[in-house]
Amino acid sequence: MQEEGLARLRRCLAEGVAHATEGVDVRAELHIDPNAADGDVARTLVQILDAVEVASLDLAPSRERDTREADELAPVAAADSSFLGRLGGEGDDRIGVDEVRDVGTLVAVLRAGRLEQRRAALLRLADEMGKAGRLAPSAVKEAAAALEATRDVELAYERTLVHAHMPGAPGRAARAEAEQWRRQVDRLLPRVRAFWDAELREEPVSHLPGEERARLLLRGPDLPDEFMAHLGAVIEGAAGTVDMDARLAVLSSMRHSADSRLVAALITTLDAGSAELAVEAVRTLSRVSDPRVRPALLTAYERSVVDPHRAVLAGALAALGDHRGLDYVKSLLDSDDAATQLAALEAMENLGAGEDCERVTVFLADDNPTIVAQTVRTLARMGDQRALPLLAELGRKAAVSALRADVEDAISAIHARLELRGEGEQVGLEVSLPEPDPIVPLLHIPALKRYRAYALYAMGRVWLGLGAFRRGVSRLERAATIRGDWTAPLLAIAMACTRRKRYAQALTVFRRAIDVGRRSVERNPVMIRALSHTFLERAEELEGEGRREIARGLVAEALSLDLRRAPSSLRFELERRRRTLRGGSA
Amino acid sequence: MSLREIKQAAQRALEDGAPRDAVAGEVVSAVLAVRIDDRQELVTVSLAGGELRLSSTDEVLDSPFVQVARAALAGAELGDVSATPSSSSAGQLSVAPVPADSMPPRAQALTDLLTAIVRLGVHHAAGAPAVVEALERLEKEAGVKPAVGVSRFVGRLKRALSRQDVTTTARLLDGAARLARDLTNSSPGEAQQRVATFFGGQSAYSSDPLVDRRFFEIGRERVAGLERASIERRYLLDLGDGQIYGESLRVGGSGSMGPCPRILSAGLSEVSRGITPPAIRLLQYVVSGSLGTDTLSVLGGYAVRRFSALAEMYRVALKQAPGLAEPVILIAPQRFGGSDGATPIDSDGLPLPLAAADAPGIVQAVTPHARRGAISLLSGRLLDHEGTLMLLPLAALIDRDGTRSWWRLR
Repeated sequence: MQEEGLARLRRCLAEGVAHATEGVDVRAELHIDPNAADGDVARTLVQILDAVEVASLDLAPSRERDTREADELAPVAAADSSFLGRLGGEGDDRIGVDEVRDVGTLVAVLRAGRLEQRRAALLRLADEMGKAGRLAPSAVKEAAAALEATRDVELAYERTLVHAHMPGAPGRAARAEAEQWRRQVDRLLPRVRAFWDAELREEPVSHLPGEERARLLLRGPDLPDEFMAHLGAVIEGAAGTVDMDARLAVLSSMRHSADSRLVAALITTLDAGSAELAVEAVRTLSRVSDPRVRPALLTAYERSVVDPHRAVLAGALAALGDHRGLDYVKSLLDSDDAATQLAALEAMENLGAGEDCERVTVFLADDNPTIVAQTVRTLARMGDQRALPLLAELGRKAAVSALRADVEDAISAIHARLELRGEGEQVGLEVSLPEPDPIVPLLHIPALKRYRAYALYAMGRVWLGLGAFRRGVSRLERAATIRGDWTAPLLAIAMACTRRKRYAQALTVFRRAIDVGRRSVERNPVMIRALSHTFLERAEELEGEGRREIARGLVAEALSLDLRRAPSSLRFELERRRRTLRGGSA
Repeated sequence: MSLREIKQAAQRALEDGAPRDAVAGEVVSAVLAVRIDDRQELVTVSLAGGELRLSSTDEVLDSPFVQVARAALAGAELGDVSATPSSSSAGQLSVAPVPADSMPPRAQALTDLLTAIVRLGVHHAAGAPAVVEALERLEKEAGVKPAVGVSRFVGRLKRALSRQDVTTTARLLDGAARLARDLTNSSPGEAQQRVATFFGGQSAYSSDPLVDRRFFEIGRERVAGLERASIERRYLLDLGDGQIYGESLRVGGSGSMGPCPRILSAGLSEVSRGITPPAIRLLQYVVSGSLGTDTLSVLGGYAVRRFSALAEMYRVALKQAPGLAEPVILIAPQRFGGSDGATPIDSDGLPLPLAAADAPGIVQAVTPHARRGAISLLSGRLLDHEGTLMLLPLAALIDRDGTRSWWRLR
């Protein structure tokens, strides 16, 4: 009787006392005056219902789980029954990356897989390297070459782990770098503590030079808990004096290296941060493997109304296996707005499939170089061979080294994907990319002059080694004048300027060296590292002086070079700085 | 009216042909309306393990209303008070109405909101013009910068209405009715603090500040207020006595700084005890992100290890402030079990389910660690659904490769 009465009262509240709820007289049910005011009826009704509900609350062994259905929508999976589609996926027919033993297959996954697959393949390759005795020497060599050649910024952290376990020079260099990183953390942690103790006014991480910060945060997962909590506070704006630019700098530096300890702060930023911070949080979150990420991105996607932001969210969801945004993003490709197109193309990296190839390849002819570069990256991830001839054509015409490098990587990724699908290159679609700007033939310079130039070069190096900067530079300049086809003296001057932090001067000399022999600069890891560093430092100097446009031009100039041999942290920081200087969401 | 009379009337009804075994079921609780002089309160009666449990809407433990109800149930006769036992479907209930013209505007706004929703019904109230208007009026009464209390109340109410959640709506509206009464009666003490916590104002905080305390932040979350995710809450456990406080601030508003987790050494802080968890405002503090193993051990000492006490604690908190209470706890499960292997279970085998529907990702994130027994402490907000108490996890102390670390989940 009582339960029935309560059910009727509950129905009254659900349907409203103003509605004739199946002839229920709520005043009679409540046993109150038939003329009682609605306010009194309402008060009594909710009072009784709540009191009964509260009284019935309890815990019992039989109630061991939440019986409610979550509101969350199931992921919209892309139908991909190929090897790559099943690799590391869900379901009965999944293939674990740890099951793959063939080194060639792992190398192909490393080039063509999704981020998660590439990460797993890299670690698996390292595993295989550890079993050198059980692998054929050719396979070990192939694995070592693949690991050495992996320059994917997204895999920078995993690469540091793998390299540290490698034998020989790369291993030693990686271990030394790790040691240097540990010392940097040990130096910074007391400064972080001092910041919270109000002994330090400036937040220490955001005030680091860009490259140093990138190198520090590249190994995010190795940072101590206290440090990570501090970064979370900076990102979500709980660190007091830290301004928006500094928050963005720290957040964007963690794009590829956040881990589950930072997820809560990132979701908070996504929910309540500014648009710029929220978009960066989305990109960072999409690279973290954590079950909290997808529900947060999904909620944001459902409520987002700004096209570029929503496209980034759709791409991030796709990176986690939810392709619900495909049709929406495809519709954005027709937009007239460059920022929207760029965001849609970025999202298509994760969303696009073979059938979307033609929708994307049209952007290879776009006037905007940023869109062309993004299109190349998107086609690399989509992995459809119909893009090969168009990419090859673009590569042949490319005047910018960076674009050509992107095209080379894209072609390599598509070939790797074809290999993983068991396909061969379609007849008529074979591509070949000729060697870029062949080495400039040496000038006809008499042997005596050559000898003199070499002698001046050697003397110049000696003077520089002794600290006589002016004398050294003077000799090297003369050597460069005598041999106009020789980059070595110019590079020696540039390196000397860089070491002395005379970045403006170094920049000029590096430019002269590039004019003389672009390839010899781009293919020399030491030189390309120094060059990138110089461009970055000079850009930071100019930005500090408020000359953002010039700084932006410098960063763009550096990024137009083939930086594949430069350290990941430098490439990452240059890219990050280009985005922040552009002030856009891309 | 006595219980004997009710019993006799019921027996007569059965003798007159009322069905005896029409529906299988049992009475789990009853509500008695008790009147003393002109004042009437509802007393809820239930049995827990054979023990009689009585609670009254006047929020006072063992109040005269509870005493009258207990006496009536026991069949004792009382002199000058009349016990009026009743259930929702039997007995006489008369509510002493508050004349509308004597209500303060804020109380009137709350009452109007309550009335509008009950008139239309929870299933039809979301977005209805009358309800929107009533909400706008309440927001207007709350001032230009509404306090966190009213903001959170409106946020929860909107969410409950959009989900057509009758139980939560009833609770929030009960809270609104209670606040309207507090406003009308100008009740002193906790009632006054409750009103001030809801609408804002210096009187929200007691005149007895906390001095030289150390707090550990056991959880942090952004919750809905007037706008989505517009309130940030930090839950601070006093390392001296284990009391958990809530620091609430509007996004962009002022509050303490620091990461989560953190240790706060607070020289001076103010507390409002009208709601659960008590609201805290830190006036002088120093932050440290270095936790230390000693602190984590102290923390373990304050964790709830037997869950049987939680239900009563939760009920008391809801009775104190139905529309505002959102209790937060720290538990130390003996193990994790259940069908998913992620339900905290205490030493008596009592489970405290995790609110998976409210935070599916968090529960999934916790599950692998729970299954391998790596979680020793879990903090979270209590909530309920269909009579079951649940925990919405906020943070956990987990063992990662032999190192204990405090993992913020939300």
